[in-house]
Amino acid sequence: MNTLALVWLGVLTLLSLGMLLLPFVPACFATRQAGSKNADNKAHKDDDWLTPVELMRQQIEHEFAALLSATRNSGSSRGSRRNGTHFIVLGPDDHLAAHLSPSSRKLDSWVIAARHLDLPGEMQCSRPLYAQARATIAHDASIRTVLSAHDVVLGTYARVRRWAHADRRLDAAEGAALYGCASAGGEITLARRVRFERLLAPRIVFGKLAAPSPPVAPTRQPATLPSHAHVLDQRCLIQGDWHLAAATEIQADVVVEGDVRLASNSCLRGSLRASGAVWLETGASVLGAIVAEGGVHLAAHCSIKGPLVCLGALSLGSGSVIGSAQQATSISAHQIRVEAGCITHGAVWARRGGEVLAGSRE
Amino acid sequence: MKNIIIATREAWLRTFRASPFKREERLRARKVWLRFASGLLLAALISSLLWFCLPSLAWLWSGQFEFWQDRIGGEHLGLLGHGYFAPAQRLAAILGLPAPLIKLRLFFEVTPYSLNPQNWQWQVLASLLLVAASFLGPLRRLGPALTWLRLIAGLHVLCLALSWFRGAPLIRHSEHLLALQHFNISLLLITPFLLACSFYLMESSWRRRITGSAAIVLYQIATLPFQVLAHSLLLHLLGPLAAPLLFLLFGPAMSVLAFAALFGWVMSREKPRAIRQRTDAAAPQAEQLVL
Repeated sequence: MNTLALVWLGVLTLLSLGMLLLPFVPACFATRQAGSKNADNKAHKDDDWLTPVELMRQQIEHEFAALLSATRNSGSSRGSRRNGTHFIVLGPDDHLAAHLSPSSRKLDSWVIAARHLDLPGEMQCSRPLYAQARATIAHDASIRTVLSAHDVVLGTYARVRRWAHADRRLDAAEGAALYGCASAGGEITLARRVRFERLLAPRIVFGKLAAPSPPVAPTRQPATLPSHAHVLDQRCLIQGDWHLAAATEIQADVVVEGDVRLASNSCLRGSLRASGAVWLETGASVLGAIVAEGGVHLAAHCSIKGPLVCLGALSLGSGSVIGSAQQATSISAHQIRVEAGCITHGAVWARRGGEVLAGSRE
Repeated sequence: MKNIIIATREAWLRTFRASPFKREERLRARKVWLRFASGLLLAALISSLLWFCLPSLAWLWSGQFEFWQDRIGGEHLGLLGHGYFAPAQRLAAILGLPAPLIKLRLFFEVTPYSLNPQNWQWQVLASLLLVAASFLGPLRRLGPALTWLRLIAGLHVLCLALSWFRGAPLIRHSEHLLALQHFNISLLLITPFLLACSFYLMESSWRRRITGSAAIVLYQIATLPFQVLAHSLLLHLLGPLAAPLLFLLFGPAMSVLAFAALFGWVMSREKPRAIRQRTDAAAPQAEQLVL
């Protein structure tokens, strides 16, 4: 093979390699971009729930900021966005009902309110709602999303289809349904028979709170681990079921291959992992996390400090407290049933659904 | 009694009350079916166009082969012969269409056809030594790639053993190159239907559908001759014993991998509206909730 043929052979080799590697070039660029994005995002916590909220805030600021400031002087306006969807921008003293015909029950426009937004009852909205002050969703209304810079108030049997966010407070009246995600910067209050899926707020109150009773510091005796427990450092493995007697406390991180029952006024100073179900009787407390493969059942006035994760159903008795104002936590369960008077701090995630019960079990 | 009434009312509302979202869902389902039907139509159009252009494409590929043969080949390399794209004729017979005569060029068959025992023994020894060396210290740094190395070496030993028992190479040059071209042309013809069942369902813009499909199809048309040329050269250099390994690793598997990579790129292209939203708005500072 002469020199020229070798040169052509080299050209052919380069061309073949280039053609072979060409489809993988976009993947290389994407991998590099993902790497730099991860480096940039390390300072931020990954919080998927706020992404649609921030996206809507951006859209409002980008598309409606000028209109909102104009409506303060000129009153409300209507129009359509670039993609053809309609919008209504309400001035500070305008009411949405004035823009709707009395018999209409459907609203297919974005509603952006410069102050309060009052959605009439039994309305069905398929577009986002935004209010710079309080957003009130009346009874039996069905909305897709709502964002308020102040408070969101949902009337009886109102339904939120995707998400609702209030920068201060979100109140849901009896029978309301919060599908998707409901979040607030301050507090979420759910009345009885409210159904929910995901909640996120520094303080979440379920039902009506009972009058606070004066705190009584229970006297507890130190408890001992069962004789068959395996202890390593501060961790303890117990084969079979475990029962912590009433008015006792123990300091350990416990892994139980069975069911766990903490009797009334007992205290576990540590975390708990159970392959079965967990029962906490009245006044019991866990100063750590609970992870259970079965269900978790809390009686009245229980308290848990750390995350609570269970694969089964979770029931919270009245007056139970999960997390604290100083340290928010998260709750995740397949199904959650909460009695009135419970308080949680942080995130509540019910994969199948959650409900605030109507009355006490007792 | 009050609870029963409330529960009954809620069940009634959930079951019988017409929700506007049900109408939305019905409309959405209809859109998906329309998109699928339009995707199938586009796929049929593209496949038909490719079918009728196959003789021209075969002529183009033959021209490329001759171009390279004139520059690389000499008295030691020559045109082996040609074959026909048999699946086209079978499919045409089934569909009752005129069968396009697609002539596929094959060349660079010069290496002696018979099995060379010395060559065979040397290759077995080299493969076994490679597998043994992979368990030793220096090569362990390769990490997960070691598994692939062992797999390739083991595969090669297996093919050599089969060839030895058969008394002849497992695959002839002509069969190797013909099978490669058959596979690539078949993949080219079914590519539009693969896209119809996936990409066209996600993408409603006709412009993006056509540009995405064109990118994949043009890549396949441009790459086929280079792949066949590379295989021909490697077979010429390594001999017929390397043919099974070459076919398994760098034959249809490579074509499918390239298709998957291009498919991923086409599916992940950002839509213009998303680009506008991303570039117009400043990135927000996400709130942090410590859990």
